[in-house]
Amino acid sequence: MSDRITKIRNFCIIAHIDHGKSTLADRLLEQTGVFAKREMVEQILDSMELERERGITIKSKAVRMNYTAQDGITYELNLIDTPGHVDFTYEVSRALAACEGAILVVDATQGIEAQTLANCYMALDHDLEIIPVINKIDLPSAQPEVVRQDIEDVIGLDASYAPCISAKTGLNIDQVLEAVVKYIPAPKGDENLPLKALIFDAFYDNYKGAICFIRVKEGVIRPGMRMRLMATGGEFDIVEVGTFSPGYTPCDALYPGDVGYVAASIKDVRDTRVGDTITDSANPAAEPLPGYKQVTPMVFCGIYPADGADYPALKEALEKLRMNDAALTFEPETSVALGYGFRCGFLGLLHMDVITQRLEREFDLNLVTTIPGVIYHITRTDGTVLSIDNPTLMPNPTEIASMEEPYVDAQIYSPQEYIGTLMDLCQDRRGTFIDMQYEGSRVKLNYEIPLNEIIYDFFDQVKSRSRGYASFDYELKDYRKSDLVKLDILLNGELCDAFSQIVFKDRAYPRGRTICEKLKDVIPRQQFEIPIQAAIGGKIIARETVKAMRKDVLAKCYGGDITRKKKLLEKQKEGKKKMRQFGTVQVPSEAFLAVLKMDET
Amino acid sequence: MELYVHIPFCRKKCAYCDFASFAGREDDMEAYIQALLTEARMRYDGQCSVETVFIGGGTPSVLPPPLLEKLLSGLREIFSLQPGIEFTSEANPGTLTRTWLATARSFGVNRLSMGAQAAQESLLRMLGRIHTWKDVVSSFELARDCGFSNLSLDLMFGLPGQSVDMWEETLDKALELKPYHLSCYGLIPEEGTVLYRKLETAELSLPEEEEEREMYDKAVRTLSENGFEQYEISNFAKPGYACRHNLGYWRQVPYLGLGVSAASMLMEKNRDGYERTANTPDLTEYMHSIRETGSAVTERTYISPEEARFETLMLGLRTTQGVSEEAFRKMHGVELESYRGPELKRQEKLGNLMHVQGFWRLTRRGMDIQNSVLVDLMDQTD
Repeated sequence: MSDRITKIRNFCIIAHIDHGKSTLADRLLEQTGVFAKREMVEQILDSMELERERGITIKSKAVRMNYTAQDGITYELNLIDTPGHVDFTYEVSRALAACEGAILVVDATQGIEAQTLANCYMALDHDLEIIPVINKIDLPSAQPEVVRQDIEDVIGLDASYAPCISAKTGLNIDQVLEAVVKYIPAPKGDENLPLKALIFDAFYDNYKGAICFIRVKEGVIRPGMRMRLMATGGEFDIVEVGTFSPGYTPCDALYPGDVGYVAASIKDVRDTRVGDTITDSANPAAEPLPGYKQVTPMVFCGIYPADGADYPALKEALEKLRMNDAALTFEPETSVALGYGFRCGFLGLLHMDVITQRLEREFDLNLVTTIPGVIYHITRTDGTVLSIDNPTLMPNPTEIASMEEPYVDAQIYSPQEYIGTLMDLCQDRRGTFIDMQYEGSRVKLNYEIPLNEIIYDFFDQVKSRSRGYASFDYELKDYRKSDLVKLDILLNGELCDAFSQIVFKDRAYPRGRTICEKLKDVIPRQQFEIPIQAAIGGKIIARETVKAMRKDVLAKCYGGDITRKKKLLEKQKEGKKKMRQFGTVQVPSEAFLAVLKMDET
Repeated sequence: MELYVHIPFCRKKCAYCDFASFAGREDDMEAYIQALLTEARMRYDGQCSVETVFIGGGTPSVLPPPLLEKLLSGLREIFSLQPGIEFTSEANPGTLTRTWLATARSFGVNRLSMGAQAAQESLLRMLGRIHTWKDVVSSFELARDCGFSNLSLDLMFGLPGQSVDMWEETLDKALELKPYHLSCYGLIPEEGTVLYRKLETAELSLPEEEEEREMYDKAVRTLSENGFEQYEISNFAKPGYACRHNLGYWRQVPYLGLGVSAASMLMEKNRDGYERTANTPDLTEYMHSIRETGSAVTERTYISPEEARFETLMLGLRTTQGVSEEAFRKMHGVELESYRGPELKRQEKLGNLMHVQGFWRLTRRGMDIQNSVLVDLMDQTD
């Protein structure tokens, strides 16, 4: 066995969103005969519909390829796919921990992007061997030599041997494979030591239960063994181990250096935490592998079915999604305005977006989501402390001694010319400037920003202010005292709890005004005049009015018109059904979206 | 039972009209009248007596008198029409002749409804009408001369280019003619019409909603001051001259509609509720189907007892008298109160409905927003 390990190469691909990661992965699979060209579904690795549409990889996966190199030896290559968004930084780090090397794809027309840089540094932190690859050289605007220099200047990698390829046309893909074999070190590990296998991903299979993607570091894992998950303490009997090539390919055992899967009839994917270490319960390892973190949701919002009758369907859908997503949390909550729903926790805004879209698309649910928020710490005047993830739980202001909100360390990578406007943005979001580092022609901005300020549209703003060139990464830092108030919205004098939010005090006025204006535009005229008010405590800070409907009548209705009139009324009723009843006021679902996608400028 | 007969011929199609009406199909008139009478024979079982007849269009007055005679004598015979029933025909100024009027009169037509629409030539042109206001006046005189006293005028408000003053002038001029009945319709631009297109392309524009309602208010007030009773959202009559045929629609009296696109509402023999049908809107297809099968029905809607209850509200609330609790009980075997009590009371509180001596009726405000009141009165659970 000790000879086999020298022929294994475990690697991932690091790339900016549209620099061709998926296309390159497809070419590698094609070249190594995993897929015949014709049979291949475009971009195999991004299998979820949503991922494909958004051009991002949400969850990591792994595929095994066999490649016979120029030296005549057949190597086992394991390509581990990594998600490419800040919400999934931890998952990326675990996937990297399963590799010895990484292919860094750089677009020959655009050079290195911020996100790439961040992941690249993370890869270097994990001591991965990085192979730069210059892609899209088939494009007329390609400047491979400039980019090559860029890689050396910005990252400090030796790019002289970087293959120049076109993943699209398949040009020089073999050079990439050769480089993988040649430069990425073979894994190391002793099969005689107690088992240590890193879980870098998990998903739920309807037939096999929770499946763990693992990288064996030490020891051997085989069916029949009783495995122990070192962080959660769970023990399960292993039913099957194997590799993905790319379908399930069971085998007798996985050895050090192997990347594969384990199935052990695990019913709940939450028992299989990413980053956890699997060991043999009969001969356990003394220490788990380093780097495990329990992922905790940072952003919360209420998710309600637009039609109350869909509550059970929503519950079932969330349960199904949670099977594949240990980071998703939810618990039932009730809103006066929205009825029965769930308070859901997410890693970040993208995660939230992905989940709500999957609920709507894959489960055909019509949803109303409330304004996302974070967890606040409140110290009451009696000295007790509580944490709330829902504005409606905020105590009366007179009972609050102080409040704390979470801050993050935010890093923004951007070409120099956008730094000014990005700093304005951070400043505007109550950010505290820490420092700025020049990295070649790029700048890394470090800010401390309240999490609450970046969960709305911060990422979009970063993108639009930098014309797509900048990107950002954040990590929870700490909780800090802050002057916060609960902003309420009243419709026709009645509190509409679904719009309540906790905001920084100085923000309350402009935000209250904006919400009232937005609601005025999206709430249709009704039988009576509807005042829309924003309030803090009992004090009204903004007001708008939706005028009463003036006319809604058919002038003519004789024999021939009756069927038509009835159809018209049915249609009107359908429209009304799509709206949410808040006391006496009907509010269309767009209203929630309008408040959610708020831009105060 | 009521009888409706559709005459789909016109000299020219009006800009706002989306009814089945055709210009330049004069050659089909004879065959059409033949088809109408065939349809009448096929569909009328002789069981119930006809209480009102309404000949609508299109423009019934474009029928050559011999064809009118053929139609009316045929109808009299088939339906054994009794003297004293309300027998209306629509007619358009600019097409009426003495012979036509005399023929109509001699076969029992006793009420004429004339499309006048507006007193201003500019508006009449914009609407694509073929007549002037002077034609309206002379047609009125001619009709009186031929023995018609029960005369009605159709007027329109909320027209592109129409001011409140212009509307007042139209009302005044209409009143000068001393009709027994007036219909005042707020314009509803219908998809597919010339007018709709012109509004879409902004070649024309409608008055503001506020102004449109002012015109409606003006009609309600002026006509009431002149001895007219408003008996429906758009209809006004001197006491005793409300159109019985039209009231029948709003009180769910069964009706048989003959002709192209005509709708019928007939009781079902073996089940509760009723059925509404519509004939094809295609003239050629209509005549062909009648010839081949004796029926040109292309649309059938069964109205269940539950739906019929809602329709009692939908139609009955158009009338100023409203929906009678007693009539509701008699028709549906259930109390109106137990059917929609809470919502009726809620609408009463909102000021849209009033409850007076066994009747539920819309308030003036409720009339403006009738549709939205009705939507609230619909079954919200399905």
